[in-house]
Amino acid sequence: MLVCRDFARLLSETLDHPLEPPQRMRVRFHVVLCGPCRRYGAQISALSALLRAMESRPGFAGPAGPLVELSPEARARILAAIAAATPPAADPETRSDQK
Amino acid sequence: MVKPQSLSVPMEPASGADALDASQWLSEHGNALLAYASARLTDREVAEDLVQETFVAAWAARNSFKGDSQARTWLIGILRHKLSDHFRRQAREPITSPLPEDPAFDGQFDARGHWRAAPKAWAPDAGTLLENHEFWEVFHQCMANLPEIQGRAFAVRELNQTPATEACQVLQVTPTNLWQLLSRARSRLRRCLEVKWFCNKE
Repeated sequence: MLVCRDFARLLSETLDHPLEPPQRMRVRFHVVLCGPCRRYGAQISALSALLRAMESRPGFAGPAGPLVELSPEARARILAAIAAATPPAADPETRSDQK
Repeated sequence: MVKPQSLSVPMEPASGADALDASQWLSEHGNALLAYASARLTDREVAEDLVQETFVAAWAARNSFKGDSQARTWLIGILRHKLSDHFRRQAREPITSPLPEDPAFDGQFDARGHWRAAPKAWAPDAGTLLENHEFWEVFHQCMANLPEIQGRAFAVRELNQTPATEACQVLQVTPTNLWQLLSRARSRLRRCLEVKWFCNKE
C-alpha cells in the first residue's frame, strides 16, 4: 500500500519516465482514494504544463518578464566582443598576418 | 573578460555594415535573450555572459542562418546550448551515491508517510498565468530559494525541457538521483507558490 510520501515521489517520476506497471497501478489506486494527493498531483502537473507552454513560445520572456534589460555597458561589451571575434576581412589589401 | 582596448576596435570601413547589423540585432533580440537566460539562472551576471557568448557565436555563424522571420528562434537555440554547457560546467563531479534527506520534502509527511498539512486549493487563475509577469517574478524567487543542485536539475529538465537521459549527463547524476532531485524541487516550488502566490490573496 502506497503512502502519500511515496505517491508524491512517484507522481513526479511519471513526468520524467514511464513507471513500471505495478507502480503505475499503485499510483492510480492511491489517487482514487486520497483527496490531498489528488490535489497535489493536479497542481504538480499544472505547473509542469505551464512550463512546457512557456518553453514552446520561443519569443516569450518567461520568469523575470519584461523587467530584464541589457544595460548600456553590457550592450557595449557584447558589441566589442563581436568586433573582437570578427576578422576585418572585407578588404583583402588591409589583411595582414598579425596574429 | 573583454579588455578595454577591444572597445576601440575600428568597425569601419572594413566591417562598417556588419557592425551596424550587429548593433541592430542586439537591439532587436538582446533583451529577449537576456530574459530567457535570466529565467533559467539565478545569477544575472552569468546570464549576461551567456547572452554575450550567444551573440558572438551567432555572429560568427551568421552566414549559415537563413530567413529573417526566425532569427529569434535561431538565437534562442544557440542560447539553449550555451545554457547546457554552463550547467555541465557547474556539475564538477559526478554524484553517484544516494542523496541525503531533504527536510523540506520529507517534513511534509508524518512518520507514517501521510500529509502533515494537506495541499490547499489554489485560486483558479492557472489559465492566465502565462501572461502574468508578477506570477513569474514570484516563480523566479521560489526557484532561487531551491537548494543549488535542485535548482539546476529543475532548470535543465523543466525550463530547458532537456530529455531525461541527456539531463542526467548534463547534471552528472544517476537517473535515480535525478528523479529524486526533481520530485523534491517540484514539491518545494509547489509549496513556495502556494504560500507566496496561490493562497496569498484575499
